[in-house]
Amino acid sequence: MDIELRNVWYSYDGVNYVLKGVSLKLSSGFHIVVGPNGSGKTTLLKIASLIYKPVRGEVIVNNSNYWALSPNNTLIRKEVVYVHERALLIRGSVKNNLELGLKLRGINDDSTLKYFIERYNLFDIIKKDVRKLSAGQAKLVSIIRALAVKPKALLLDEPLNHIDMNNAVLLIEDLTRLVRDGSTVVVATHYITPDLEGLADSMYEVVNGVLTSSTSFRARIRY
Amino acid sequence: MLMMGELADIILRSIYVSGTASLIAFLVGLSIVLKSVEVRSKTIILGIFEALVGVPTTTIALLVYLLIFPQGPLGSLNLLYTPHAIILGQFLVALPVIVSTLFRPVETTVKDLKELIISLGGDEKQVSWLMFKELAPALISSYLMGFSRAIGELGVALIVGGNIAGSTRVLTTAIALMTSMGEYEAAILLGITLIALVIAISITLKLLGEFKWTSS
Repeated sequence: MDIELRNVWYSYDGVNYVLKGVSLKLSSGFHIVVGPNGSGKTTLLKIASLIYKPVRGEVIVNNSNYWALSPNNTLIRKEVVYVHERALLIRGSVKNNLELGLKLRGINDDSTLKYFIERYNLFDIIKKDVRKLSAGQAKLVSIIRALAVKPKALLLDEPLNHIDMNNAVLLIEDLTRLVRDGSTVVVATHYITPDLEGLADSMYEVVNGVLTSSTSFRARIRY
Repeated sequence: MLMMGELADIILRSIYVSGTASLIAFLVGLSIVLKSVEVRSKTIILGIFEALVGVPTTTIALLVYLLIFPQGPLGSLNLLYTPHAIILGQFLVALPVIVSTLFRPVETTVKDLKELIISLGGDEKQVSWLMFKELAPALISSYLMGFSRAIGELGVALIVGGNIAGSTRVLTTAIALMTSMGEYEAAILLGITLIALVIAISITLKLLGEFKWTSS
């Protein structure tokens, strides 16, 4: 899936702009958006995720101007999934949350859930009330919930915060697999780990709402 | 001496009057909150309602009295000393409590949950349903706060209700009357009934809020 931002501006209060004329193209592959806290990374990701409509500029998805499309754009909308920096979970158990994305799409896929429960060893917490999860567990659940729907574009805000080493390795493997299957994966972070950098096809730096640099790496071969 | 039939009548009237007033206040309050959480002046709106929580019920009763007394703007409706007058007054008593307690949970849930559901591919209908599910405990708590404030107030019920036996007498006005008449046993019985009623309704609705709403 191709998501292109063309001269995008965004303001929360109509006065101060948190994004100022950002243009970039996110195609199938792994992309990193880096920048200090408060630089506009989250806003950029939410615009690329089609959650926020830019004040100015265009968001082109697969050669169509998304916000100029009729309301009949839910098919595109369903292909793009965003994972918040702070884990957002609904009331109920871990299982309720893991199946949320699938249920919203009308899919009843126990095998996918079973796969992720086994892979991340969630047996002990699957029935647990999400209010009793640690920050890392909650974050993990929110990312797995997104992975379970196999999105064409997955955008994650600081995904490895609070995640332990073992699960971080598994997540990176799953993100790599998603990219290998043709998806677009975008990670926003203020701190690049060697693992993430090693995966990146491109890296964008945002400072004070402005894209200050973009680096494309040679197309990587993924096994 | 208070007869059982009379006590039952007072209890039922109290539930009807305060339940209706707080239900209307809840619906109006929820609409105000849903409209306010996304506007820039929301802090001012919330501040006004938080300040109104502390207004004495006698002041609200006076305002309602001035509205509905025979020479008042709504005098032609003949509301004074009817249960409808108490409902109107208690509506104004409960509304600020409901808006103030509902504001923050709705504000957080509307923003976060809407983003979450949309980011996971949900549509507007699914957003609304999940929003209701997520907010259920907060909605019920807020309604209960409004109901407790309404059923426990005396000023409105006395001033615009008139404490008329068989017509506008509710638990609080009956307690005041029995105490002033030296009927302490009856006053204590009514007081215990009022407390038990509020606790019973509170527990029932709280359990309803914890109920797992399964369909999606």
